[in-house]
Amino acid sequence: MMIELSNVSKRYPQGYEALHNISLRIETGEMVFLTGHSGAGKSTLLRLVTRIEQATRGQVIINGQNLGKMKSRTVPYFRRSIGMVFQDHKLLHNRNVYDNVALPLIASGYRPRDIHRRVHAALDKVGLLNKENSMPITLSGGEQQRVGIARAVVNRPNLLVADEPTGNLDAGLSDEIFDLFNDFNYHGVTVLVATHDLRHIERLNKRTLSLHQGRLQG
Amino acid sequence: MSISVIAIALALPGGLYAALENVNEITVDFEHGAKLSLFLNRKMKSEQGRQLADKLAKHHAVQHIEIITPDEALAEFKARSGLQEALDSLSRNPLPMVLQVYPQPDYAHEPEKLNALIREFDALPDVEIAQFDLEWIKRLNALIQLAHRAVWLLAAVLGLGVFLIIGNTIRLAIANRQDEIGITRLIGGTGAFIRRPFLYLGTLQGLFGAIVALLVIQLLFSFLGEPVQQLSTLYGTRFDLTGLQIIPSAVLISGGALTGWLSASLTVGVYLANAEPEKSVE
Repeated sequence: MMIELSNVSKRYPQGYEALHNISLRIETGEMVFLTGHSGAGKSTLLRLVTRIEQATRGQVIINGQNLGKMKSRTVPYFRRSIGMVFQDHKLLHNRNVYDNVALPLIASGYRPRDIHRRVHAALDKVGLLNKENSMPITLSGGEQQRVGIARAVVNRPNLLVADEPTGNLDAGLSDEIFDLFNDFNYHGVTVLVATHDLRHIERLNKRTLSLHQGRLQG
Repeated sequence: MSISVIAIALALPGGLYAALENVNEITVDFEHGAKLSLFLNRKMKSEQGRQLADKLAKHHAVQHIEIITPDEALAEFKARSGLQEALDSLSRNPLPMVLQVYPQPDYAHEPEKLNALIREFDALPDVEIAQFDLEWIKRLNALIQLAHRAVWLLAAVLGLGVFLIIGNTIRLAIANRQDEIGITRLIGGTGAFIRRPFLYLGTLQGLFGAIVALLVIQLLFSFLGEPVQQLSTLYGTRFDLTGLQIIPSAVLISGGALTGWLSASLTVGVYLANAEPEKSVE
C-alpha cells in the first residue's frame, strides 16, 4: 500500500497548526518509523493517513485514492484495508478476546466459518490462542496489546498503522511487539509506526521520518 | 422495564377498543330486531285493525307485521308487570291495538329511511302514534362513534409516548456503547452495520411491548367473560364477551413493532450523525 503526502498541513479549528507542509512517500511493502517528541504531530499524521481526520491543505493519497475526495460512505471499505493499533489498545472490555478479534470480520460480513479460522490464525500469530475466552481486563498490558494487534491484522490489511504501540510496555514486551510488526512487514504488509522509542529504530534499522513541531526534519 | 411501560401504554387503547367492539356487537343485535310500533286509535274495531295490517303489509318497506290485540297486550302486561290485581280492577281494557311493523332489512340500518317511514305511518288517520323503539340505540351508536374516535386519539397520544420511550432507550443504549461504536467505525464498520443492533433493539421493544399488551387485554377480557355472561343470562339474553379480534390484534402488534423501528431509526439517525469517529475516538 503506497502512501503519498504532498504539501499537507493540518490546522485545528482553535488555530493550532499540528502539521506544516509535509511531503513524503512510503512505498508498498516498506516499514517506516515516525518519530518525534510528543506534540510533534505524529498522531495527527497517522489520523490523516487513516482518514480519521482530513488535511486542511495538501493531498493525502493512499494507493492512488485521494482521501480528501473520498466520500464518507466509502470510508468504511477503505478502512478495512488498514489495520490500526493504538497505545491504549481500544479493546471492548465487555467482550472476550475472541469476540474482540472477530469484530472487524463481523463488520465486514465474513461467514462464521471463515471468521473462526481467521481469528484463530491471528491469535496464533500473536501467541494468545490459549486466551481466546479470557476477558481483556484479565490480561497483562502486553497481552492486551497483542490482542489489539491480532484484531488489526485479522482482516489481512495491506497497511498496518500503529500509534505508540509500546508506550505503556516495558522493554521486553516492546521487543516482542516490534518483532511482530517486523514479521508482518516481512510478509509484505506496509507498516507505519509512530514511536519515540529510539532503541527499536536502531535495532530494526528501518527508514525513519522525524517530526519536529509539525515539520519533517532531515 | 420499558417493555412493561410500553405494554401498559398500548394495552389501554387496545382494551378500550375491544370493549367498544363488544358494545357494538350488542347494539347490532338490537338493530336486527328493529321494529316500529303503531298504536292504533282506540275506537278502532279489531276487524278494522286487521284490514289496516293487511294493507300495510303490502307496503314496499315492510317485511311483515305482527298484530297485538288489546287482550294479548293486557295479558302480557299482567304477566310481566306483576300488577295483576290492579289491572283486574279495571272495568275495561285501556290498551289500544298495536301493529308491530318489521321493516325490510335495508331499512333497518338506515335511520333516515326509518324516520321517513315513521312519519308516513304517523300521518295515517287510524294510527294514534307511530314509534321507533330503538331511539336510544341510535343515541348509543352516536356515542360509540364518538368513543371510537376518542380511542384512536388516545392511541395516537400513547403511541407518541411509546415512540418517545423507545427513543430514550435507544439513546441510552447508544451512550452505553459509544466506545464500541467508535471502534467499529475505525475497523471499517459501515453506518448500516452500526445502526443495525439499535434498530433491532427498538423494533423488538415495540414488538414485545405490543405482545405483552395483547396478553394483558386477552387475560382481562377472559377474566371478565364469565361475570358478563352471568349478567346477560339475568337479562334473558346470551352474550359472550370477546377480547381483541385477530385483525385488531395484528394491527396492535405490527403497530408496536413499526413504532419501535421508526423511533429507533430516527434516534439512531440523530445520535450517530453527531458521533463522527474523531469525536468518539478521543
